[in-house]
Amino acid sequence: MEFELTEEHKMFQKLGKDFADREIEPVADEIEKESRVPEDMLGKLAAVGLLGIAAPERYGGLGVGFLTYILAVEQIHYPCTPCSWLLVANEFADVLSRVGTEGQKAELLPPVVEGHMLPSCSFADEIDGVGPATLNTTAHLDKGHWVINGTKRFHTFGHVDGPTIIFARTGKGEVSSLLVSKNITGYTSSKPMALLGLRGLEIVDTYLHDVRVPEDSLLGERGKGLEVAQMVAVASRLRQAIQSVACAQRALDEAVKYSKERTRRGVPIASMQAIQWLLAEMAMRIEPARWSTYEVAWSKEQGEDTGMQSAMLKLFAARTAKEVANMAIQVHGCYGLTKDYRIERIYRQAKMFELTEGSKDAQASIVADALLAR
Amino acid sequence: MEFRLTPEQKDFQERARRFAQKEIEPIAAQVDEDGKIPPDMNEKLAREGFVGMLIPRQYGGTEAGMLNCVLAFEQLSYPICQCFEAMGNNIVGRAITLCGTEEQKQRYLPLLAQGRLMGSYAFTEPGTGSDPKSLVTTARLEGDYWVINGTKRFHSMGHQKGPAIIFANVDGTKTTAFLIDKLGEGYRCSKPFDLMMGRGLETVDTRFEDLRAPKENVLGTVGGGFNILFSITAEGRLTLSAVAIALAQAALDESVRFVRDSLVGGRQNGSLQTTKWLLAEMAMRIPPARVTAYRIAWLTDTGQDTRMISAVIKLFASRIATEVTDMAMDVHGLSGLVKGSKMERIYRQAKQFDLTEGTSEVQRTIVAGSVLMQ
Repeated sequence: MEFELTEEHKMFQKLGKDFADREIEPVADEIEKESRVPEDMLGKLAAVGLLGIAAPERYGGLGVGFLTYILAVEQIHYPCTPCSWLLVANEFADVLSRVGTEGQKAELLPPVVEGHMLPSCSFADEIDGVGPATLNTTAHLDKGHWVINGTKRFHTFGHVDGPTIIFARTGKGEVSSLLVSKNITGYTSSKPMALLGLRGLEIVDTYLHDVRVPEDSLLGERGKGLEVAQMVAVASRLRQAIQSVACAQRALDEAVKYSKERTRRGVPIASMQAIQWLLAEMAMRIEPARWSTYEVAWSKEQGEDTGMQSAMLKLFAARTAKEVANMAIQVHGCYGLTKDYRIERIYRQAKMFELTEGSKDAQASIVADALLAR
Repeated sequence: MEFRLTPEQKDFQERARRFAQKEIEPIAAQVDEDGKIPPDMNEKLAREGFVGMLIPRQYGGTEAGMLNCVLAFEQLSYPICQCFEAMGNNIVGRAITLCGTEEQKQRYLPLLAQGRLMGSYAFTEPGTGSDPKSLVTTARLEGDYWVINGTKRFHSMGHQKGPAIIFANVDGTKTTAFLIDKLGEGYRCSKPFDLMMGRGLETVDTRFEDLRAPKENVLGTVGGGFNILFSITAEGRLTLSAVAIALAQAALDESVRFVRDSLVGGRQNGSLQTTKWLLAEMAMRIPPARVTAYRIAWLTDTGQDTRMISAVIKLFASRIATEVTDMAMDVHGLSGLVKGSKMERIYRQAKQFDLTEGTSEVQRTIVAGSVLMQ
């Protein structure tokens, strides 16, 4: 047992931190105000290698493990902007390198790693909500092509050029995953939704109307779509967990800073026991959430099944973000409600982690089923 | 980086689990009822090597280290019966190992490692709680002897033969640790307190009336008491956290069993989702606590400072112990109130962690102080 990050891990942490300080922090307010991530951000992330952490070297990536990716996300999300979502290229590479064909990898990984394309993945269908087992989207074979029809909701980056993973019913009780180019006839998207927090994160509805893709667009075997979905879900839960941790850490740091500056009768409020109590409650939650995330990411990297662990973790980390943000805004008092302070934005985004990529109730259900099935 | 227990650690964990199942589980309910530990328990624990884990081999210990110690505490407390009071020797043994003279080591360590003496430590006083800066107990040098006067409250194992580390002020300001042979002349103790929890774990008040300790019984240096205290309390918090984590695990396991059993009768059907939600809420809290405890044990074993972070885990593990057991009671319904049920015993144990080895208020002060210093 060895609870220390390797030199390589620390190097990527530093790379992520330097990038966040240099490229994201200065534009964080603007991103929030304009609800827009600068167009060159993806290219900049690619230039320092952060899009290719998980992709094999053969395809232009760095081929270092999933934990390293998680460490990078933690740093990139510290300014609490949607920029960390651009790193999902790594999750795409993680899935593709495990279930993709040689041809798919060779075609898609290099442009994804270089930031020329932004991959995506969508779980939620129009009516039945989350849960790929209840899909409405269908695909059938016609003259060597899959013909896909359906609607995908809450599809992050669903309108940006690149490949997307679509889950569809390909027969009775059969779900398959397909690689679809988002720039193809029959594929349309809504405008990005206006969101509570994380403004600039572009989430759309996607409509697939007789979309035709070649037969070899299957990702993984036919009928094994739910396994691919599970793979994608585990990766995204871990990423959301570390984004939650970064969000909570930033909330604590903002509260500490404010409590030292703000005085009451000439004394910083940091010296008051009620404030210190809140700071301790925040710190107490972050440390376990962080190391638990590292542990599960490491287990995933070792090839272990982390389906239940990642669901528990996501549940816990999202809760941590929400509770910590709530206490941090409390430290700020009424000033916390104003846009002059970063905590206002953090508070709005913290709740989102309990709702996206499988709501907390979906995670709870996964965890309980696993417990009862033992 | 290696987040997995080594094969040796797993073996050790397994040995502790088997010991707990064979020796503790069968007597747990009875010990709780009578408040009496079987007289041969200390010897059994010593024979298995659970009491000298932090004592060097040359003095009869096993040098198993803090991580193994935490694993042992976790497994041995899982039956919810604190009849392993001899394991306090680990912490007392470590303090003597780190700060004692050669003569002190030879005198005490072998007997502590064999469980023939019961080590203990005491700093709490009736008027001062856990605030070590306002100790009333005094020690003054008279010839070749220290003359000690004062009272120590909640001194666990204060009534059993062996060395106690007690803290007293010399010349009004120099807090100093002394090794005292318990039950000698000038050393008086009350009857054990009748406690809500931890039946079998006995704690007493002790009074020193002109207690004479040889000059060489200072542990460390005169005025160096705080450093020893901080080290002991860091380890005490960590091992107690392991006990709290085991309690939470036991509460979860009891609840899963209860829900499963009651599903057979179909009784839980109506409320299934709320029950499942409770199970998930319990489960998600445990892994972050456990990984953090193991990490701090590893930090201890690698010689790193754990004074602040041990307060984090103590605060967190205590919190999850009360929260998880509370939810477990909700799962059990009225069955959990029945005396004699394991759940009732579990519930009575849960609050102690918030209150012993420094209350949660004390831990919050430590954590907040450290957060504000960063």
